[in-house]
Order: sequence, then C-alpha cells, then structure tokens
Amino acid sequence: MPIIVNLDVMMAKRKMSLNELSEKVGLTLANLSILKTGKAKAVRFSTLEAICEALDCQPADILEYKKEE
Amino acid sequence: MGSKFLALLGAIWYSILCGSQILTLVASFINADWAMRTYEVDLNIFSIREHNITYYVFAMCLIIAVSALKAFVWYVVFALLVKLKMQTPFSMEVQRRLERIAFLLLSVWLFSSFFWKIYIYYLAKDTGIQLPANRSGDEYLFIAAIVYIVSQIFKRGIEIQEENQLTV
Repeated sequence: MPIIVNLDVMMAKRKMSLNELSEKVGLTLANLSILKTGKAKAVRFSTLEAICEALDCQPADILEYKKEE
Repeated sequence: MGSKFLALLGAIWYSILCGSQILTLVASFINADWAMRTYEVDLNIFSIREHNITYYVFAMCLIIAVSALKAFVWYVVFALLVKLKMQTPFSMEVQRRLERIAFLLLSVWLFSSFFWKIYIYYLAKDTGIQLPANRSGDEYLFIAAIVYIVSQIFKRGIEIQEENQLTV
C-alpha cells in the first residue's frame, strides 16, 4: 500500500512504548500492532486524534504517502 | 446437529443408490435376469440393452454419474455444516465450499438434463427407441445459480468483515 505508517518512528522520538501508547490512546495492543505493521485498511479520525494527542504530533508525522513503483 | 445428520443421511442414501446402479450395470453382463430384479433398476433403460449395448452402457454411466455427484454434493454439504460455526459464519472456507456446491450442482444438471437430452436425441436417431425426456434435472441449474449467488454475497461479506477487523 502506498500509505506508510510511521508510528514506530514517532514512538521512538517520544521514547514511548507500545504498552504506554495503548494505555494513553485506549486501543488494544493487537489493534496498535495492526496499525504499526501497516496491516490496517482504515484509521478512524478519533483514533488518529487520540494518537496525535498522546504523541504530541500531527497526522502527517504518522502517515506518509509514497508512490508505488 | 439435525441438519448435519440429514446431510450425512443424504450422502449415504445416494452412495447406496450409486452402488446399486453400478452393481446392476456389472451384473447385467454376468446375469441379465438377476440384474433385472436388482434394486433401482430402470426397465426402460434395461430394454435398450437388447438393441444396442453401447447406448445401454452410456445411459447407465450417465445415471451412475448423476447419483455419484448427488452423493458428493450431500457430502460437501455435510462437510460445510461441520466447518460452519454460527458465532463466526463468514469464513473463506465456508465460501469455498458453497462455491464448490454450486459447481457440483451445475454438473448434476449437465449430466441429468443436458447430456441426457443429447443422449435421447442420438438414441432415437440411431435405434428408433423413444425414451421419456422427463428425467428431472432442470431444477439443479436453478439451485446452482442461487447457491453461486449466495456464495458471492458471502465472499463480499467476508471482505467487509476483514475490512472492519482491520480498521483501528
């Protein structure tokens, strides 16, 4: 998929673990893992908002578009 | 539980039918008088044997193929019901089996109606024997189409379910 999820990069920048983020955002570890590994097919605005708030970043810091070759 | 039992019963019933038809075919070459008295013998078809043995064998092969296919359809229905979990009914396994049932039903229609009509035409042309063309079979085409449509709706349901599961 040409949409890349840079959640792990932002988590590393904020020095936040998956468990910690899961608690702050209110998502299960399984769902966060789906998002982190790029398996997710859709992201709710509410989830994106919660992640941005927890990581203090913008949606563009987490999601990136890269053209497929 | 009841539906599984019924499907298994259907598979056993048609297997017995198929077996008895094979027995009749084999026995008709060894002892024709005894074969005439066997279970599920069709005397109309048996009379073809006197005129043309090839047409007789061909007719019996068609009838045996239909019974074997019906037995297999019931077996696949039984296997589907065993795999089906009512808590999570939408799975690719169930969809594949539904699709297989649709194609098997189409094969039943091909053998019991389509090929049978062609057979009757050539039988009448070559030997002059007129067999009734009313062997039921056309309904299998209708059922096959319905099962295929249901399997495609199932497929779309699975896709929607997967999409929903992968939405965070």
